[in-house]
Amino acid sequence: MEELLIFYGRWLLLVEEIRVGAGAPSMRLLIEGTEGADGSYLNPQPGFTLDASGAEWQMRLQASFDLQPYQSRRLERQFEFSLADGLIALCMTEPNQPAAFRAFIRIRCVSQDPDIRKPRTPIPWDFTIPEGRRDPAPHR
Amino acid sequence: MDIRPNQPWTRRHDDPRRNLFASVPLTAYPQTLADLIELCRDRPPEVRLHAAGSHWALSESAISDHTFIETHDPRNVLPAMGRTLWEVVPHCLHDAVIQRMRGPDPASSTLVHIESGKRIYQLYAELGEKDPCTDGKTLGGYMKELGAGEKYQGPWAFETLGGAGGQTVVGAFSTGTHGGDFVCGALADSVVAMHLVADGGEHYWIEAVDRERYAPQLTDDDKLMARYGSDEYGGPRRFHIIRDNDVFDAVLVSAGRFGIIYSAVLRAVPQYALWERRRLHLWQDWKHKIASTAPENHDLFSDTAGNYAPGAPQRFLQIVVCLTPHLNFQRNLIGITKRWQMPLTNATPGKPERVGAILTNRPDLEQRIGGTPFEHAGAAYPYSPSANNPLAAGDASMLDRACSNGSFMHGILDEAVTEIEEFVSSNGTEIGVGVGVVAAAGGAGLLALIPGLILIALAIKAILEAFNHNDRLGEHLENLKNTLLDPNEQDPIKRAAGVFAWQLIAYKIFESMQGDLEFGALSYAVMDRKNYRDLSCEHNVASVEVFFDADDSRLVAFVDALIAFEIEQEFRGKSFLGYASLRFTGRTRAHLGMERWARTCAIEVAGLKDMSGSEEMVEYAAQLALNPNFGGILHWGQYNPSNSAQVASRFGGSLVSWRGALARITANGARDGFSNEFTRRTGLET
Repeated sequence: MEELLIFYGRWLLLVEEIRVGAGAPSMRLLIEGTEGADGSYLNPQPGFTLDASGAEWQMRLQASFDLQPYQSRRLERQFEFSLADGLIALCMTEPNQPAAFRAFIRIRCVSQDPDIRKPRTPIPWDFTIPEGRRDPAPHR
Repeated sequence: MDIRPNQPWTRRHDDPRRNLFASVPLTAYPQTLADLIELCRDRPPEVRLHAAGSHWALSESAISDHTFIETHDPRNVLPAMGRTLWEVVPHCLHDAVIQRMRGPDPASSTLVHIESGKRIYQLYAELGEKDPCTDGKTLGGYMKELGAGEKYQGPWAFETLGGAGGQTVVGAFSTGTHGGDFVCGALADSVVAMHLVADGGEHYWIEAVDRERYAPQLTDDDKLMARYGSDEYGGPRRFHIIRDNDVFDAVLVSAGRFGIIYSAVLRAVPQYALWERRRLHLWQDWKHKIASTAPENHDLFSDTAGNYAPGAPQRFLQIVVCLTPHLNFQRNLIGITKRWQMPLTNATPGKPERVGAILTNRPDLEQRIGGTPFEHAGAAYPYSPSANNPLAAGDASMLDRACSNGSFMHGILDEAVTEIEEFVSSNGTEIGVGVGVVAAAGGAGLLALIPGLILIALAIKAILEAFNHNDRLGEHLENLKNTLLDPNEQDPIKRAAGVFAWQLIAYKIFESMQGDLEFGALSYAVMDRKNYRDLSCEHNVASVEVFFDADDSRLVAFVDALIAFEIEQEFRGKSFLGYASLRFTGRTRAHLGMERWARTCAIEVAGLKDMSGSEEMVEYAAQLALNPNFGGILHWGQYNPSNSAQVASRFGGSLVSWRGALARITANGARDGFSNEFTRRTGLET
């Protein structure tokens, strides 16, 4: 978990989920160091997207409860790589927060770096056999 | 000293048909410390030097701007600088260290002092011999003279090793070479002192400060000075003793930039036996267990060995990934290997097969390698257990024998074509194991490919009929791949059938190489898996090794990216012939060691260049690792296209410390005789 996440190059951001507690928190997503996408994005909702690009840029998340000053929330980043999308970073705050102070957000970031995201060809072939004709997979 | 102009220069794993350089300006073959000092002292300003060990490394780190210094002639013609030395261990050890070693406790470790041209297999063979303790020049004999009995007679062993023993010990540790023992660091972490000859002819005894093991210090200054401060070596003003861990940790892994390491003192441990278990699994089922926070992480790192090593903690983990997919592109095979230390007995196998008897009738060989010649050291197939008894030696495996030529492929192709023909002739009702795992259940896509499979089976049979057993494995597979993955094939059904057959063959090859195995043997027989008789499988190689924190999710993403790249390659008529191997180590003390985390994962991606698609994969892996979003660290001794900014971002303050030490040894960079194109590109400069 880190207070600040650093990214390199172009990424597409998509807010996938938000869960907030009873304290009516306000959340803001802070993006700095990009070429044109810098800003403080207040209460981004699921479906919110951002095209962020820059040699090195940063993401932070802050939350305010009961109109108190904003405080940084620590973010966890999990990387994965999928055939369809390439390198994905799932960025989220701590999911198990006390209900009253919950400020959970999950942002899916997909790298658009051409060195990582090679053009993918959809798999054009179907190597399947009817059910029941093959032995169970021997290696688990 | 033999110095020859215009010699060819190449590396062991390069294309055997040609030299990397047809001619280099000068090649020097020093045999003594005095030779090295002379080379460094008398260097003309326009001549730069760089040392090479066994030519094992595939990086450019050993490529000199001008003069190549060979510590072990790779052609095995001229004498190597490969002696075991006795003048420091035991005769310059500090009195307090000697007194402690004489004590009543059993010896938990020993020290061995070797010249830089000694190969790993030579040293483990020598360490494995008991010292008769009859000569006071050796540590064992000296301790006996002092009344300590024969507790230093051995046999001894390396605490850890890489997967091969052909490198020189110094070449291996100074490039950060490691094994898969996650309970300790790299080979470099067994080093306790080094004797460095630097530009200008100054030479340095550089010793780790380790007050727990060697208090107050390992060696005695006066004794060292009497030995190495003599006129023969330039006098006392040219010999310096440094006990500073910052300098020591810098020189340990330095890719030859500080100068030539003439000799090193290593800590060895009592000989031990290892129990190894290997199992085939699927990457997609196990990749989520690698991070220490994963609930099932203990399946990978805390397994038990059962009756052969009761209660022993697991110490080793390797995961070899087949990048070619199966199960309709959804799964990848892995071979998971684990090891435990097991009780050593007189019957523990491995020595006769891996080391063999001492050759008493080869004084020529003894003189050339600078040590006791052994029958099989560096000359045998990998140790292979008996099929009936895991604690007895068997014949060399079919694959290892096949690597002496390319015939291994014949059996695999024969099996594959039989399965395809059975599937075709039964109209898809008879499904062999291979066809059954490369296809996925739940459709009839493969039935539609039967006309294509008929043509592909005929094509494979034609290859079998024209099979030349003398061709290398990579050449066979390149030929096969061009037939099966031809991107210009106009018939889409035949094209699809070709890809299917390719995946079937890749599956069978991997299964035969990483299939289930369980055995116990001496430490070096288990750890050194190099096939020294190989003429086919490990030549013309491209390889890169990338290091990550084992808890970093980018590690799994990296492997998945390689798998995606391989799938894409197959669409374009290319394929990777090789493996991605994950090994885990502890943290190293070396400033520029790649093993920077408490649990480090090293992913080696190595393939045969005979196959179009292998170099592309290695290049992609390197590019991906160097991408700042991945932030991987590359091995100094393998393909390493890092630039200075990339090295600086990965090593941070450790690089600053390393440069400070370099400045100290090189008069702030003024003595730049060991700079080369690699060190300038990677920023291994002051």
